Amino acid sequence: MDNGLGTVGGSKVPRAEGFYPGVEGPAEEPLMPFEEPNHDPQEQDPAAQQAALENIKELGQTEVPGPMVSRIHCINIVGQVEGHVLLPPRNKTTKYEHIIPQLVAVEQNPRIQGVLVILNTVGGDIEAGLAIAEMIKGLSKPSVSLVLGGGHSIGAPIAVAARHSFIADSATVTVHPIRLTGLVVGVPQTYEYLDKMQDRVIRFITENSRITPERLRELMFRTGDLMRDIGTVLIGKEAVAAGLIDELGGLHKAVTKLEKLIEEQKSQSNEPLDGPLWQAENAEILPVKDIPLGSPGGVDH
Amino acid sequence: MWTIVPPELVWEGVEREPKKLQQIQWHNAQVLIEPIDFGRGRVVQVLSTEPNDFLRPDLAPGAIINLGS
Repeated sequence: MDNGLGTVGGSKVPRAEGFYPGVEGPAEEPLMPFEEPNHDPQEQDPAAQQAALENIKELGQTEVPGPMVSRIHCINIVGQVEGHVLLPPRNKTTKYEHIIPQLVAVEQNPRIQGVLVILNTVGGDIEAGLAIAEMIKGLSKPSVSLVLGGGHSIGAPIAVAARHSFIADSATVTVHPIRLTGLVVGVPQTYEYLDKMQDRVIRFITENSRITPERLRELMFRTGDLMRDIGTVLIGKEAVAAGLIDELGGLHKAVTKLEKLIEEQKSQSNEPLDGPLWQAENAEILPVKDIPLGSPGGVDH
Repeated sequence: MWTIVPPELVWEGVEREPKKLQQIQWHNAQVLIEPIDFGRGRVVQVLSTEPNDFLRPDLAPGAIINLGS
């Protein structure tokens, strides 16, 4: 049966060697469970494919191009980044519980050599967004992000998490302050908590892009630019000029850059990752009694 | 939430009763589905410790599962 979501059921169609021009074939690689014909998205209905093969044989053609599988894995960040609360069905969402283990599989899969993150998001949950961003940042494989349409709010840290970020000329990034929704306790601690949340995001963005914390704060708290909120809308070039995004470009530039990064990484494959991802020596260890009690944590809305 | 969408739009309809979900075993993976029809369900979440299950297109959230096949 073919429900348009991939074929389920046995198939005897021989698989092609050399999935991608210029990439070693999968011959020496261990067979991953998902590589079973059952789950291969590229394969059509076995009967239909068999019929097609017969047809071609009848016509005298000798070579049949096999299914091509890209060495690039594409991750789409769309709509709202969904957090710990299931959003009402009218929202389009990106689910972190699916993206996070998927990135684990990407890291381990020998056939995937690079990740292209395409963003068209309106923002969403801070913790979920930062989790996805940290996962992308922590990949040993090259990653490139491309902001199309919009990469607003929590989309910005996800965009800068990739090794190189692109923004389309017409795309926008809105940076604005974090707000709390729902029941808010009117105590000074609430404001401190909000400030800490703000700092986490600002730190992540500034560590992974060229923008300075001062400049980012200035853009975030600017008034008169947005109708319903304070903040700034950065359109294409402006996001690059501000240092938030690395380069202006579209799909071709993003894919070319990713291919280049993959080749670079291959040529120096024995070298360690970009830098210490985990700086244990410099970490300041607080004695237990110094950790403020009642530090808020958990759900962010 | 840190989003440019006004909260009243994001949370519209949140009070409505959530859909009943079912946990099923589907081709070697535990999947949480939302039944949509007799013998059909929409994938909500993959409950697996095998990372490669998360690369399977037939288990992507929103994919329709035909339980008969």
